[in-house]
Amino acid sequence: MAYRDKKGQIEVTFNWVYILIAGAVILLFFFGLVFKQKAVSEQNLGNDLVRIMDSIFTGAGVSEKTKNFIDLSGLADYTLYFDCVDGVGEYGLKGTSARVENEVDPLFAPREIKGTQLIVWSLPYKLPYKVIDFLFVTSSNTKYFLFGGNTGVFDVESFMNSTEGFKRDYVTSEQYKSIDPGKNFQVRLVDLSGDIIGKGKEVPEKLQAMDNNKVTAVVFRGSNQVDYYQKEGERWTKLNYNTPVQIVSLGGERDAAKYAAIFAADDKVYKCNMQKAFKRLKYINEVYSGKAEEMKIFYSSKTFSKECFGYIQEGKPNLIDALSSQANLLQGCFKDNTLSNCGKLIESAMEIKTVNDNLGEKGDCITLY
Amino acid sequence: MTINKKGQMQMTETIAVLFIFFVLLLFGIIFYYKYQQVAVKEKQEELLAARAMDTTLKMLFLPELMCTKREAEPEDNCIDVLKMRQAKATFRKYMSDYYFGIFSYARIRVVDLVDKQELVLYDKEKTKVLDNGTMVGDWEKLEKTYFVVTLRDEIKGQGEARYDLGYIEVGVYS
Amino acid sequence: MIGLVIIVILITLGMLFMAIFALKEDPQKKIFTRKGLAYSTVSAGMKMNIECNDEVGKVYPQLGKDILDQCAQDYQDPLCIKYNCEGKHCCQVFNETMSKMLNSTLGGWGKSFEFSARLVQGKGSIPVGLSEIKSKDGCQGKERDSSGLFPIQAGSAGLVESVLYICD
Repeated sequence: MAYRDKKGQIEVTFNWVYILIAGAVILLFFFGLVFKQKAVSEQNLGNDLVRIMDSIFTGAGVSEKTKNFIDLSGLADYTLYFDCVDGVGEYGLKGTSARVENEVDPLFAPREIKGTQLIVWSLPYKLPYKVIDFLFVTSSNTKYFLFGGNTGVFDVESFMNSTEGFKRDYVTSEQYKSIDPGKNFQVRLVDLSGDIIGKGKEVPEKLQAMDNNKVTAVVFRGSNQVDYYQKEGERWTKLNYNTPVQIVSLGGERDAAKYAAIFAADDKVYKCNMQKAFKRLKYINEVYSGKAEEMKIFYSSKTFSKECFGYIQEGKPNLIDALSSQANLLQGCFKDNTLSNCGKLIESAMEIKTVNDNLGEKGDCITLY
Repeated sequence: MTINKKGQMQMTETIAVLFIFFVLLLFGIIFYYKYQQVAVKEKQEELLAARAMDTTLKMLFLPELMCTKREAEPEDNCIDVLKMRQAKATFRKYMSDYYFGIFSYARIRVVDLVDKQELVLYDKEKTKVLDNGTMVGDWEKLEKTYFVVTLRDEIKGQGEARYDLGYIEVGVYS
Repeated sequence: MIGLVIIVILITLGMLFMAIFALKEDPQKKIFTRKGLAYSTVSAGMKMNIECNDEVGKVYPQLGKDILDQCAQDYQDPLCIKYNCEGKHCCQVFNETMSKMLNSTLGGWGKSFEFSARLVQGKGSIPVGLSEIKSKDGCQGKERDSSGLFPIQAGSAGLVESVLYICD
C-alpha cells in the first residue's frame, strides 16, 4: 500500500513537471514565432513604405507645380532620412535597412524629417528648355523663415504665393533676433540680403536651445550664389567653407534652382543633386542638337525661309553653335563637383533662348522648344 | 472492466487525441505555407504593376520626348517626332550609364497609326547565357500598358504642327 | 462531436479567407491605367489632324477644335459651312473618325468603352447628342473609369462636352 502511494505520488509529480516543461516549450515556440513575425512585419512595413514613397515621388515629380500633402500620422515615431553622395541620392527609414537609391531624380530635402505630414512639390528646371523636374520634400513641422527685404535677388512674393500650405514666414530684419521656432522639429532661415547671418554671428536666442543640426540657414550672396550655415552652440558656422555655391539658372518666377537652394539640407546635397541635373542636360542637349539638325536640313531646302535657316546655322547667334557651346561647357562643368565651372552655362542658355525667341517671333519658324 | 484495461483504453484515447492534434497542426502549417506562396506571388504581381505604372508615368513626361510650347505649359499626351528620332539614339548610347536607371527592364514602343510605322525607343530585356554560350530571354511576363498619344511633326506640316494619332506601349519585364 | 466542431471551424476559416480575397479592392494599376488611358485617348483624339479633301484641296483640320466645333454649330444644317471632307457632313466625319480611332486602339486592346459628345446650349436646356460611340458590349453594369469632361466652346452654339468611359 505504502509502495503504491509512493508510486502514485511520484507519478503525479512527474506528470506536473512534464506538463510544465511541455507547456513552456510550446509557449516559447509560439512566442518566438510571434516575435519573429513582428520583426518581419516591421521590416516589410519599412520596405513597403519606401516603395510607396518612391511611387509618390515619381508621381509628384511628373505633376509639376502641384503640391502633395501626404499624411504620415501612422509613422510619427519614425524618422525619414535624405542624403546624396557622389551623384547618388538616397532616402529611407532611419535605423532600418529600408531605403531607396536614385541617381536620376534631383531631390532637395532636409537631412531628416520626422512628422505627421510630408509635403512634396516639384518644379521644372529649365536651361533654357526643360531639363528635369526638381522634387522638393519637406514636412509640416519644418519652418522656413525668410528675411532681408526684396533686393531683386529673390522674388519673395512669388515664393510666398507658390508655397501656400508650407510652414513659412517672411519676417523683417528687425524681427530676426526674436525668431521663435515654436514646436517645430527644425527651422531653416533664409537670408536674402546676405548681411544678417554670417560666420561667428549670433544665432537668435530662442533657437539656441534646439539641436545644432535642427537649425540651419541659407544666405543669398547676390543673385547667383548662396552660402550654407548651421548653428553651433550660440553661433553660426559656415558649411561650405570658402567657396560660395553657384546657382545656375536663368532667373524669373519660380526659379527651380533658387528654390532648391532653400529646400536642400546643405551645400553637399545641393551640389550632388545639381550634378544629376547637369548630367541629364547633357543627354537632352544631344536630343535637341539632333532636332536642330533636322530643322537645318528642312530649311536649307526652302527658299522662302532663308531667315529661319539663318537663325539655325548662319547667323550670330545661331542655334547649332549655341547648342554646341552648351555641350562643351557641360564637359567643363563635370570636371569637379564644386559647380564653379558651371556658371558659364547660364550664358549659353541665354543664347539658345534668344535664338529660339527669334525663331518663334521674328521668323515664324519651327522652334527648338 | 479491470483497472488495467481501463488504463489502457485511457492511454490509447490520449494517444489518439494527440495524434489528431498533430495532424491538424500539420494541416495548419501546410495551409499557411500554401497561403504564403500565393501571397508572395501576389506581392510580386503588385510590385510589377507598380513598376509598370512608374515607368509609364516617367515615359509620358520625359523632356526628351514631350512636345513643348516655348514658355507655355508643355502639351499633354504628345510626342515631338523630331526629338523622338534623336532620342532613340540617345537612349541606346547611354542605356547602361543612365536610362536603365529610369526604365529598368522594359520595352517602349511608339506606333504611328497614320503612317503605320513603329519605333522601338527602348528595349532592355532580361537575359541569361546558356551553357552553350547563347543569350536567351530570362523573363516570365511582359506587363504592357498602352497610352494613346499624338505625334507632332512640324516638318510634315511644312512648318506648321501636324498631329498624327499614335500610341505608346510600355512593357515591363518580370 | 468534437470532430464536427473542428470541421465547422476549419470550414469557417476557409470561407473567411475566401471572403478576404473576394473583397480585395481593384489593384491600383488597373484604375490608373484605365483613367489615364481614357484621358489620353480623348486628349489625343481631339488634337489629331485629319486629312480632308475639300473643294479647295487638301486641308488638315483638328478633329476636336475644328471638326467637332463645326459639327456643334452646323448639326442642324445639311451642309457643314467650313468643312466638307469628301462631301460628308462634319458630324459624320467626326463620328467615323472617332469610331475608327477608338476601335483601332481601345478595341484592339480588348477594352470596352463608351464615348459621347453633347452640345450644351444654355443653362437649363436639354443637351443635344452629337456623337455616341460604344464598343460591342459597352459598359453596361461594369466598373468604369472616365476621362473627365473635355469642354470645347463652339462659338455661339454653346459648349461641347465630350467624355470617354473605359471598362474592362
